[in-house]
Amino acid sequence: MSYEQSQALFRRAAAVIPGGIYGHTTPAATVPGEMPYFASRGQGCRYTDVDGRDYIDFMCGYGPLVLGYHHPEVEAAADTARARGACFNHPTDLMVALAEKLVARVDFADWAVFGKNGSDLTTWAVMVAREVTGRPKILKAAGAYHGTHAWCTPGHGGLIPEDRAHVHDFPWNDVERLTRLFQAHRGQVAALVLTPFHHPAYADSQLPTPEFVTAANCLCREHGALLVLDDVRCGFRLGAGGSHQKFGYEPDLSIYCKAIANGHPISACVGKKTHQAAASRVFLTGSYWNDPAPMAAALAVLDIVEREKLAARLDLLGQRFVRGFIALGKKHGCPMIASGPAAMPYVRVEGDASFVRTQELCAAAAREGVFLHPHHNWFLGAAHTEADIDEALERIDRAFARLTG
Amino acid sequence: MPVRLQAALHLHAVLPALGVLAPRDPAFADILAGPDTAVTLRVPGLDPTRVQRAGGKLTVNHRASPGGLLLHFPSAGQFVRTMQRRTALALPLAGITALPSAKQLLERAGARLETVLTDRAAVRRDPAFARLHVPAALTVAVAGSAVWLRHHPHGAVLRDRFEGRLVHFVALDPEFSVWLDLAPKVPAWGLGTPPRAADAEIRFADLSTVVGELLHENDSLASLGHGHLRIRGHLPLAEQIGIVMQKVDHILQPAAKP
Repeated sequence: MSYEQSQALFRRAAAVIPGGIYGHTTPAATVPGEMPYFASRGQGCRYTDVDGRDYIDFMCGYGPLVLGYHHPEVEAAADTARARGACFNHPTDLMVALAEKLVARVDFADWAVFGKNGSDLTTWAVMVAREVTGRPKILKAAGAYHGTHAWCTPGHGGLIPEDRAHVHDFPWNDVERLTRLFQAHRGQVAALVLTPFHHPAYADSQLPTPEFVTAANCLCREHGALLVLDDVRCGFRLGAGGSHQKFGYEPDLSIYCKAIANGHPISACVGKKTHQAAASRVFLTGSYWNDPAPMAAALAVLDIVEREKLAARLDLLGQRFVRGFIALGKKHGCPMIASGPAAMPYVRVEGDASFVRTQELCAAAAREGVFLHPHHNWFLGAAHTEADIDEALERIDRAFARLTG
Repeated sequence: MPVRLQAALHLHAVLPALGVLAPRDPAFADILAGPDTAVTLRVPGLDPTRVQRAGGKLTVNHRASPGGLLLHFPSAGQFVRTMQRRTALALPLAGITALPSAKQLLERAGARLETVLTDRAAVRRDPAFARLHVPAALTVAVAGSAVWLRHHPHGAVLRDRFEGRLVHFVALDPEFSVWLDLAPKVPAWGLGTPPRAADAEIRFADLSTVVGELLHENDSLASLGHGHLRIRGHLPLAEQIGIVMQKVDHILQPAAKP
């Protein structure tokens, strides 16, 4: 099976764009030549690539499409706002309404600010923590993804040692190592930056142990550091009020992005009153950050998340999908391992340290019209129905048969 | 830059490339035709390297064998100075009669290897020359990575992260493959088929891609998308080893011809 149009478009792209496609959607991160490179259109939980092939989508745009492509209520809200204009000289009332909505929704939040990407505001939150504490050090879990800025990028190009001079890693769930870091840098730690659960690429996801959550909360209080929760990937998927409630974190700042506006570009950071003055001293802006349409979309999404009990729905769908996937693996003599919450699972072939078998399975699934990622956690969306899940499993059954037949 | 690392790179990564280049390069015909001779280079704290010409063949290994010239360098710094053609102290401890032939072998073979490794303009211009450069440079890069991982202060962290992994580099034009194994306590490398399945196989489909990668002039992401470069398996492992190879190159090639 060839992806002729994807390949042809990629040849044009590579002539004028470094890497052809860069960042997390680069073909290099999936199975080059065996999966689509470019999308054409989408509807609900399905999209079509430039070769005209349809896929049941379990990446949801790497997270943002939490309600599916072209959700009518969200698009109507965004269209209405867009009709008023874009990028005025001032914010609109929608920014205030969205801040009020988040403050009402997130239990510890007293204020909110907005950006365009998770990386923008996670890095800004780190600066706020430094402004609050007057300290330089940032602690984070090894392998955790927090964005593309120099202090945290997983890339290697363009960095100098000073970029990471004040950033210290510890293994996820390792209370002893985390405690030792706080002790070693006593009086110097501005923030502990965490994702709600550990979802590194090229590894299984790990939920936090209760001991780790307790230690994170206590150590931050004891040492006067801020707990910054990077809820960019999980926020509003695992709970309507943010993921901290599900796991028991007590954050000072939380950042949301992917699920907040169903694909419209916006991110948010919320924080406590005690840090508002410091937050206002850390400069924050961008050319398009006041654009009202994504704010209208976010308001609509937040309503839907609560009204339709989205987290519970995604959990049920995810459980159905993961259970079915594991059963298919058994049927075909190819044991699978699942990790992470059911709403955003990562499933791979057991005993496949090189990921080669998992890559082959994802490529075979793509040929059957199911888009999965071999090295990154997947996403369920509200646009998936039980029938979609079952259809996807039937297709994956055929993919397994190709692999093991 | 720790001088011991530099010395180890020359001793255990650059010199072994002589054994790879010699049977492929017509320019070695005269060098190989000389009398049988051997020289063992000994640097404190490092495994010795023995370069031997016998029966018209050139071999390089790290075993201490009797016979031939034994050249002792009192320090890693003195050895590095020698490799950089600067005045340095070296003591012939045994086999003094082999000194003239061994010296001539090292000088002639070394000069040719240096040209093949560093004349980037010729690599870009002349496909035949590039087909000599690829196996020699890939050997230095992979063997150099094994040396870096063993001797650099940051090597242990990467070894821990990728404990037990194996990377296999495969060039299709010219046909050549070399592997790096992180499973042993001391990272190992070798030519041809690896001792077990690779965790990451990096395959260069054509000459221009492998040359571009070795000269750090290739848009790797684009090549991966095109399929000219394929990485099967553990991409982060391949990426990290690629970064180590680049560090090795920066240490060894400060004077490379542009």
